[in-house]
Amino acid sequence: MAVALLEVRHLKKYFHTAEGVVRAVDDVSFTLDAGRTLGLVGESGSGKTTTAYMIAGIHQPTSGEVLFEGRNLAGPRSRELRRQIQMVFQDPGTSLNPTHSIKDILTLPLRVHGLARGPQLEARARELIEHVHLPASFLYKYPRELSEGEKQAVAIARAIAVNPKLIVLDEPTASLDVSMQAWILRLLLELQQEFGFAYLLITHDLSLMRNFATDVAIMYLGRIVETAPADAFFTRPRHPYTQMLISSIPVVTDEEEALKPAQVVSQGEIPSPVNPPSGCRFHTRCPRRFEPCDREEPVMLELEPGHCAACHLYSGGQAAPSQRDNP
Amino acid sequence: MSQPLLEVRDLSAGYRVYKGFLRVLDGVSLTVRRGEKIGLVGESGCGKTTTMRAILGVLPSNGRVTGGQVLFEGRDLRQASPRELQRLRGRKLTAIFQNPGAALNPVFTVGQQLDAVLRAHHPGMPARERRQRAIEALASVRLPDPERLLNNYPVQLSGGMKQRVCIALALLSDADLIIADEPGTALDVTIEDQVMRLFMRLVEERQSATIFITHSLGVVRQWMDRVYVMYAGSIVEAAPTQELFRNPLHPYTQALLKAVPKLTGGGIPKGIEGRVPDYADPPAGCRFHPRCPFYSPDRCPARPALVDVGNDHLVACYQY
Amino acid sequence: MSSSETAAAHDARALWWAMKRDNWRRMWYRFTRNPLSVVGLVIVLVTGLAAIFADYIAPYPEHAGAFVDFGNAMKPPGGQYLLGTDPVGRDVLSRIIYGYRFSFGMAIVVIALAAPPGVILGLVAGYYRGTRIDSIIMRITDIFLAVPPLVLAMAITAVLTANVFNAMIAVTLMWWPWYTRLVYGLASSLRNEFYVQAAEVMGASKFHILFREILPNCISSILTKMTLDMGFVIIIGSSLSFVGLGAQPPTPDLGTMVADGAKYMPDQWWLTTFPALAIVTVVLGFNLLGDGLRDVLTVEEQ
Repeated sequence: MAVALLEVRHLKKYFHTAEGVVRAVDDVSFTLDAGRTLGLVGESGSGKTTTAYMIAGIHQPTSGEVLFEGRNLAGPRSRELRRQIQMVFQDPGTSLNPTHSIKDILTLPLRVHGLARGPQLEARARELIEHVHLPASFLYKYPRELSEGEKQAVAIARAIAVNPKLIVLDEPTASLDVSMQAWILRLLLELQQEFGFAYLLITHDLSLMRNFATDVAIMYLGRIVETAPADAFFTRPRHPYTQMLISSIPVVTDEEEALKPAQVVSQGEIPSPVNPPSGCRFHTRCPRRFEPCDREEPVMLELEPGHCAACHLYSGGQAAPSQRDNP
Repeated sequence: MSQPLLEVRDLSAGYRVYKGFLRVLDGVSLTVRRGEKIGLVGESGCGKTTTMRAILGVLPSNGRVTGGQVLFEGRDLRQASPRELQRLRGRKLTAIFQNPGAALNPVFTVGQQLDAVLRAHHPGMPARERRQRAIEALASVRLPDPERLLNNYPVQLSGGMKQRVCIALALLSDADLIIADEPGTALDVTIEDQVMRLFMRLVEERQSATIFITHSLGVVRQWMDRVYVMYAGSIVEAAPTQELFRNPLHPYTQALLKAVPKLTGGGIPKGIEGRVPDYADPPAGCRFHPRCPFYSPDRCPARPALVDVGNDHLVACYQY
Repeated sequence: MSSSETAAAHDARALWWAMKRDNWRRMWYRFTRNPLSVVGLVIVLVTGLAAIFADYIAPYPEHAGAFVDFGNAMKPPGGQYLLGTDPVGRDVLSRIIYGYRFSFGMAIVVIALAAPPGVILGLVAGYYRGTRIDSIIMRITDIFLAVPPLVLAMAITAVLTANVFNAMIAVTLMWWPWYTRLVYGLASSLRNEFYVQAAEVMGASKFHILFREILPNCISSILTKMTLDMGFVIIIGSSLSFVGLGAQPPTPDLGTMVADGAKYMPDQWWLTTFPALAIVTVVLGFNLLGDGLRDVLTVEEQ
């Protein structure tokens, strides 16, 4: 069997704070193959950003492993590994140094990794800015002169500058308008087709995920509760949390409205990760909780090929339910 | 004919900056009837927040209203004295600002801030009754344990809780019109959904009208009665919600709707080419023309006026 | 091909300069919004130019040194001597102008010596916030901040000899910790910015992160502080001279002039009043200018 590009095994990250131990990420596992896009979805406080930071090397895991092409990423990373994994941050406003010109920003990774020097730098910077469809004159601008969307395009150009294999996208369009969002996402898809990057997309926007990711993993309070290929996922969401997420999305067409599981109304807030609920962590907000939920932790079950969920509705001794579960 | 609660006529406003005068609002007209829920949508930089600030008379120091009228219950707010305006702002119209963190003063407890509003509006009310009202207000936005919450500082609350405190603050005044500027932006979808449901229920109970400013078309579709679409400082289309989403007429509205990724799939849509114009030197005529796929110099000679095409549907485009 | 590339490069350079020019214009516009900032700038420019060109501007340049003319001693302001003369017949105006030269010189030297080490230590401590490096640097800084400045200066000049050089060393020693404090605060928050994180994910060197990513974003605050400090150092320098620990006669110094003139109050009031006013004016000028710069630069960062 071929080695996955990225494999995460039992990843945990605990932060020690005044209020106690924050279990930001608590046993997360998934794999991502080359050229694919995994969407990691969850509310704030679900641990999705912490997971991304561990993969990008900003945080060190408390335990568990991150394997990149089979190599363990624990400890200080080699320059080569740093090159292979790039990151695009959430807020384009602060991910570009306001005192650097766009050219300086784009050539920094090339200089750091010794991929170009002298006049090559300028030429490569021009190439990069063209890849993201911005005029070459932008090289001589400063971040504050760019719109939010243009800044994000520059951040993407910086990430692809060193030909990485994996790009971690942390809510890349959260601060953008629909129009700019569409533009940035199309750009990312185009670059993926051209260069074959794998994306790990962190987001809380399910409609975006539907159209962008090939695979989806839903996180709740430091755990993954459901994983599936993107299409299957939206037509047959299994976990009640996923159903709640989908039903919360404000949509713009009647067809979309029809897709929403109407009876699952959003309630409550995500509990503190310092003291997560017993049993299934979602049971305090779950509209369909029943007897075992607050005692036993549900295990991840494969309900259909590739579609897994951790919920007592589907365990309880019997085989994976075959009925269409779309309340 | 009954008088509308708020009528904005041809409102123009802008900001003085280094480059000159930015003519941001270019003749905004909108009407709010009593109890009506209005959604105001558009990209960032379209002048939504400026519209709100101009209506409330709280433009920043370099901003200036240059023309038009803001008629609230028939009285022009632009002619009102600062004191009258101040009184009106608390009693009859109120606002919820974009960032719940910044709208609450970090050095006062939630209770003190609610109390300040009550004291201003009900000068004779005894302290005990004010406390009771504050507790009721927090309970009405479904905040848990309101009595303890009164003694909490804003930093001790989550984003969703802060936004609910802001809503409680706005609702305390029993205003006839609540202008809300993107109150859901900082929240998760599940929390936004809860906050919206609550907000709309309370607005309906009080029969208040609301102008809800947002860039989320989905939120507008789900909750509002009527939608105004704004582009580059003017209203380009206005219609009842159902009508607008089923039959969008203005090319800008159509493009905006297309740009939203759909839950039903279909890939990432195309965005709108180009960007919101530079207000120091806005395009002549229709301000959308540089980005408009239907533009032709012969057909679009000047700035199109808002025309009624039936079904209470107004659009400012030469195609109609 | 190559010609089109040169043309492109030329265009790029032109664009670059157009942008720079536009930036300066915008900053100037913001600066001039506040008339007081302009007043500050004018004061600083006038006194600064007077200090530089003292030899040409002062009516009696030779009066700056050990000059004696008892025939014209103690002349009140007006006539030949605009601000009067001192007990040995030297022109007060000329001595004030040379006093400025001395004060400016001292302030510039002190800040030039105090700022760089202060900034570097602050950067390092701020970036490594929470580590041992941070504790060591910041505790040393605290120790220096705990010593009353004038006392330190007095101690140093008492152990060594009272002269200009030692006074400057004393003032420098008490000044750098303020820069460390300032930059420490900035750096420890800037290190969490996404662009610093981005550089780290990329694998950029610590030197790059400290001096190319973080430092440029501190520059505006440092510049503002330097401008405000010019005024404060002038005050401290004058204070030291006033108590006899700074510039020694016959060097013309504003603090010394105020001290010497005090003996003749109130009859020969001009001996003290004009040098004192001269100090007030220049310090005020630097404060107004510093505030103006702060307004411009902080808005610029938003």
